[in-house]
Amino acid sequence: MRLRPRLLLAMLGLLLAVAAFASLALGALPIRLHDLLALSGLGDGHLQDYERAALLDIRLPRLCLALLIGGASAVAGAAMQGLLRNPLADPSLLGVAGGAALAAAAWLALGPGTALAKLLPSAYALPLVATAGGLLATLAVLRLAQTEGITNVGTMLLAGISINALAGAGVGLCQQLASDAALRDISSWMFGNLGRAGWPDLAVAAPLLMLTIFWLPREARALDALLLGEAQAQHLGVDVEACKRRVLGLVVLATATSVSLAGIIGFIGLLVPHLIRLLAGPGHRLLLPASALLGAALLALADLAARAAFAPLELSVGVLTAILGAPVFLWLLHRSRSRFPLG
Amino acid sequence: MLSADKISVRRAGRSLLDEVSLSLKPGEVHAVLGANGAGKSTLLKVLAGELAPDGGEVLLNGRRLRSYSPAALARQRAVLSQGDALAFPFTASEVVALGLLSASASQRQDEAQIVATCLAANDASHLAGRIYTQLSGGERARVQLARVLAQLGMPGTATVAAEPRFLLLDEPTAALDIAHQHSSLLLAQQLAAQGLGVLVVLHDLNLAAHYANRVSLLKKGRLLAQGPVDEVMTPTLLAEAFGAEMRFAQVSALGRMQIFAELDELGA
Repeated sequence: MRLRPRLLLAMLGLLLAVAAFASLALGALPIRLHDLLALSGLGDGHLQDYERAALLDIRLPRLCLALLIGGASAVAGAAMQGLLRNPLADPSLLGVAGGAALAAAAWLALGPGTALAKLLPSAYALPLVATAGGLLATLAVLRLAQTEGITNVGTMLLAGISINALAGAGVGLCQQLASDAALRDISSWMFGNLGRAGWPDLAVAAPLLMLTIFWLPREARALDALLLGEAQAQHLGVDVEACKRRVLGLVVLATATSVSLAGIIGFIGLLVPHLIRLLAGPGHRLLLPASALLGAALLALADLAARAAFAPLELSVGVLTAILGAPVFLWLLHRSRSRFPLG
Repeated sequence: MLSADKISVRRAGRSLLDEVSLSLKPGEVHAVLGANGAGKSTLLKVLAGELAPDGGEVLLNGRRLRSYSPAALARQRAVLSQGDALAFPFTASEVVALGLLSASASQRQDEAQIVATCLAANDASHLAGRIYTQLSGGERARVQLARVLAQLGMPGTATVAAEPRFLLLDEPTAALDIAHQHSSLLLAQQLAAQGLGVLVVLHDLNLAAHYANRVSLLKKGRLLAQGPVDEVMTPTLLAEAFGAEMRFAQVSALGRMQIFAELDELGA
């Protein structure tokens, strides 16, 4: 049984709105919904100055970041899975996130003193460097996994694991070489955290993440055709190589931007598209926008849980998504073992 | 006209096709026959534009195949390849609708009707809402055939194409039962009568003799013979194509030409 597209999108929109309001209202400093509406000039509620400051300077940018990163990760995951015809292809497993994290850590530890720092505008330097690292790692994984143009999924996952492990070791090395200040920056990424970025970071990241969220759905029909096989998609009129380049480029851009701001937040890109496929089928015209909505809502809720569950102690949201995502991944792996033999 | 001129393909030092020429005209069914590894699928891939030949050239309606954009090419010719990579749970209707990927906006408006017509033409209407990955091999083959028909806006939709269009089928009958083997090739024949050029790679000699107008016989990447069915499918040429240990006979049965084949144990 499949849900009708409009019903699904309406339900997800509602979930997103609830998640957004809950994220703003709940936490160490609870704010009543009635007072929250006063922020947008509605109703006769009243906010204290410190409440207003907490909302505008802390919770709102954090919520925006959660929505953008959650949405972009889910869309990127869905598109990657379509491109590789495999429901297990998550950007965080393909080395994109690991490569981006390594490049970002290296930049923070060693970059600012180098000549390159003078060439790159400082606000964009970190996302750019992270994107380059993510791209290199992805190309390495895909190269290792392909023989004569055919991607071997088992090899791809193993190559992704190896590249991620290598990147992790590289991050460790950077930590040991880094100054104390840089060390703090680096170690907070090892676990995904949405609390660091403020409005200036968001101003840089938002356009890049929005580009991914709104551009990838334009590739929906091509991705549908690619599920038949690359040759078949070409016969149907898809310029397969150009489509691959655009999709991979956008996926890497979104993943690297996310990593440079919030560290590695895995499994959203795996979990969300899978849930949507169960509810609405594999067609990308619905899958991509629906994944964006659910991914945004889910990450906002996960972040809310991470900071509110044991307040004032704050958990890392990356740990939380991994706790949710890893069992689902194992279940998927078990279910699809016959269709995608590993090895 | 879809014409290949002296096509050569080499891979890893082996010659897969050696100066093969072929012209596919609108209105005819052209069968490609030959033993395993003779180069039939390679030739079809070259004609489809999937594989760039190392020598020779393919022209589609007078223009080089390479000069077409993928979308423009998709409107002129449809291809049914062997193999089936689809592992995601689309319904049969959704698979057929993928055929309309490069269609014009007006055709896409009639999507539901074209999908229904193409499924019906392949005796697959009852499969429309079923999940493709749960179908049997033969049912999948019929759904895929419906998809390539939909790509050409066929059949029955009174499309006045500016230029002739072509259908390339690689072993479309391999997974089908005997009744559907015949109905699929009858459909190919009807499409040819509507002005389509149909190229079909076949293993069953009698199906080829029955439904094709012209035949190309390949052996080890070379063209052994090419022409009308009764000139090419002679016992001598068939034995040369499929091996000297095979013995062929051409007889008339059920009112048409039939080919009988057996292993010649005495001669071998």
